Amino acid sequence: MAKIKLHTHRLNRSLGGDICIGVFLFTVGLFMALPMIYAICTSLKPADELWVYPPRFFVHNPTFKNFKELFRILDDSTVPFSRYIFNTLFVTIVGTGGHVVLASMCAYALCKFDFRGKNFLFNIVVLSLMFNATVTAIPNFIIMARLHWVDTLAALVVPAFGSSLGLYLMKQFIEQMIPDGILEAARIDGAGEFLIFFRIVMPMVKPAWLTLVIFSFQGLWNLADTNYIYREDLKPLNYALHQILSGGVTRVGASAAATVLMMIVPILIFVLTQSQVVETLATSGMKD
Amino acid sequence: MIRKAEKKKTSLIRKNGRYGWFFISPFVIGLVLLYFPIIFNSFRFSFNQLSVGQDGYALKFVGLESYRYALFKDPDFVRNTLSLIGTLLVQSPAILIFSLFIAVVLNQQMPGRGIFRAIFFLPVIMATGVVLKADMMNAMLESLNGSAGIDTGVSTVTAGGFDISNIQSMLERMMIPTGMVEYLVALVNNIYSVVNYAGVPIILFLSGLQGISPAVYESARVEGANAWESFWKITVPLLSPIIFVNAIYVIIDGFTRSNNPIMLLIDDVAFAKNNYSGSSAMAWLYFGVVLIILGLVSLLCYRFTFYQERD
Repeated sequence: MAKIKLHTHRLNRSLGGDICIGVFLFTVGLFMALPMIYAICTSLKPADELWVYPPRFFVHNPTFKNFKELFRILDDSTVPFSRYIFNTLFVTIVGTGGHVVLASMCAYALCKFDFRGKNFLFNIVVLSLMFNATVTAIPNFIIMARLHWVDTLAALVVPAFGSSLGLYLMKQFIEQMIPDGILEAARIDGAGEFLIFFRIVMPMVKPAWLTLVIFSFQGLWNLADTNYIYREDLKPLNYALHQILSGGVTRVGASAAATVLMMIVPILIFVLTQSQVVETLATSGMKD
Repeated sequence: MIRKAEKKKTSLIRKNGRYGWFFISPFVIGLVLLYFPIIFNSFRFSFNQLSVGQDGYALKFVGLESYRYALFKDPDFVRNTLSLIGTLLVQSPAILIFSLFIAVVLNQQMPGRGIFRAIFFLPVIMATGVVLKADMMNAMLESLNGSAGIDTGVSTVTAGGFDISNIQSMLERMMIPTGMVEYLVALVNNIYSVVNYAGVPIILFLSGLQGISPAVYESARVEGANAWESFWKITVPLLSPIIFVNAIYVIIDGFTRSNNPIMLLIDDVAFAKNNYSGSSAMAWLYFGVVLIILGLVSLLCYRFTFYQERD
C-alpha cells in the first residue's frame, strides 16, 4: 500500500480555466454558506439589533453577550449541564463506532462471501432505506417498550448501529475498491478472516468509512428526537438546549449562540476526517 | 485424488460461508429483533383501527378501510404524491450532475480545497440541526409580525424554519429590492434545493474518486488523452457504481425527507388527526410507489453500470 505523491494539476490547464473554476466555486459556496453566516451574525448581535426592523443580515456591533447569556442560563439548569454533554458524547461516539464497525463487517460479508440468503438480506437492507422514522414511530416505540429500553441510552445507541444507509454505502464501496485477488493472497499467506478484515479491508476502504463516520456523527450529534427518553438526566444535548432555550423571545440571542456552538463540532469532525481522506490515496496493491 | 480435491473445495466454500454468517450476524440479530417487528406492526396497523386506552392499545380489524381512506377520502394524498414525483423527476438528475461536477472539481489540487469541501457539506449539517434554528427563527419572525410570540412567550417549532424557504427573507435582509428578490427566488428556488441536497452525493463521489487509481489517468495522459476524454472514458465508467449508488440515494432521500409534503401529511394524519391506521396505509401505499420507481431506476442504471474486473 504505497502512498503516491500525485501531480493531478495538469500541465495543460490554463490560468483562465483555474480562475473560472475558482469564481464558480466561490459563488456557489457563498450561497451554501449563507445560512451559516447568518447564524453566526445573529449570534453576535446585541439585543437591540436582534429586534431592529427591517431586520439586518449582517451584524453592526458584534458582541459576545449572547454567549455569556447562554452559559448563565445553562448554569441554572436542574441537571448539571455536563450530564447532557456526556449523554450526547456517549451516544455519538458509541453509536458511530459501533455502526461503522458492524456495517463494514456486514458489508464485507455481503460482498466477498458466498452463503445462502445473501441476496435476500441485501434486498431487505435496500428496502429498509425507504422507511422514514415518522412512518414507524408508534411500532418503534412499542418495540422499545417491550425490550424495556425506554429511558435507557440503549434506545438511542442500538438503532444507530443498524442504520441501513451505512451498510448499503459500505457494500458498494467494498465492491468497488477491494479486488478479490488481494483477499486470496492474504488467505494463502495464512491470515485469519478477522486479520484480513481489520488489516486489509478496512485500511483500503478508509475513505468510505470516514465518510460514514461523518454521516453517523452529525446525525447522532444533532439527535433531538427523544421519543424514548423521558428522564431528564438522560436527554441528549440538542434536546436539552432546545428545551432550555425555547423560553420565548428573550432567549433568541442565547439560542442563536447555542446553534453556532452546536454546529462547530460536526464541522470540525468533517474537516478532520476529510483531511484524512485526502491522504489515503493508494493503489489497490495489485499488479495486473 | 480428484474426489479429495473436490471435497476440500466444497468444505472451504462452506467454511467461507460460515465466516460470512459470522460477520453478518450482528446485523441479522438487529434485523430480527428490532426491525422486523416494527415493519410487521406497521403493516398490521394499516388493516386495523388503533385506539389507545389505559392499558395499552387495542386493534379492531377494518380490512381495506384505511387504504380506501388514503386513496379516495383524503384530499391531499394522491395529489401530493403525484406532484412530488414530478418535482423529484426534475430535481434528482440535476442533483446528480451538479454533485458529480463539484466532486470532480473538488478532487483536484487547488488552494483552499479543504475549506470548499467543508462549505459544500454545510447544508447537511445545517439541515439536521434544524430544531434550535427553527425555534430561533420562529420566535423572531413571530414577534416581528407583532403576533402571539411576544404575548405568550411560547414559540412553535416547525421543521425547516431556517432553511432554504427563508432564503427570501435572508436576501431581503441584505437590502436587495423586493422585486428583484422575487425574481431571484423564482429563478433560484429549484437550483438552491439542488445545491442544498447535493451535500451527501458530493461526499460519496469524492470518496468514490479516491478509489480510482491515479495510474489509469497517468497512462491515459501518456497516450495523449485530454482532460475531457479522460473524464468520459475513465472517471465516468469507473465511477458508475457510485453514480448508481448516488442515484438511489438521491431518490430515497427525496422521497423520505421529513419535510416533504407526503411525510408531513403522514405525520399530520397520524398525530394531529389521530388516525394512525390511515397514516400506516398511506405509508405503505407510498412505499409501494417509491419501490416501483426505484425498481425502474435500478433497471435503467444497471445497464450503464460498469463493474471493474480487478482480479
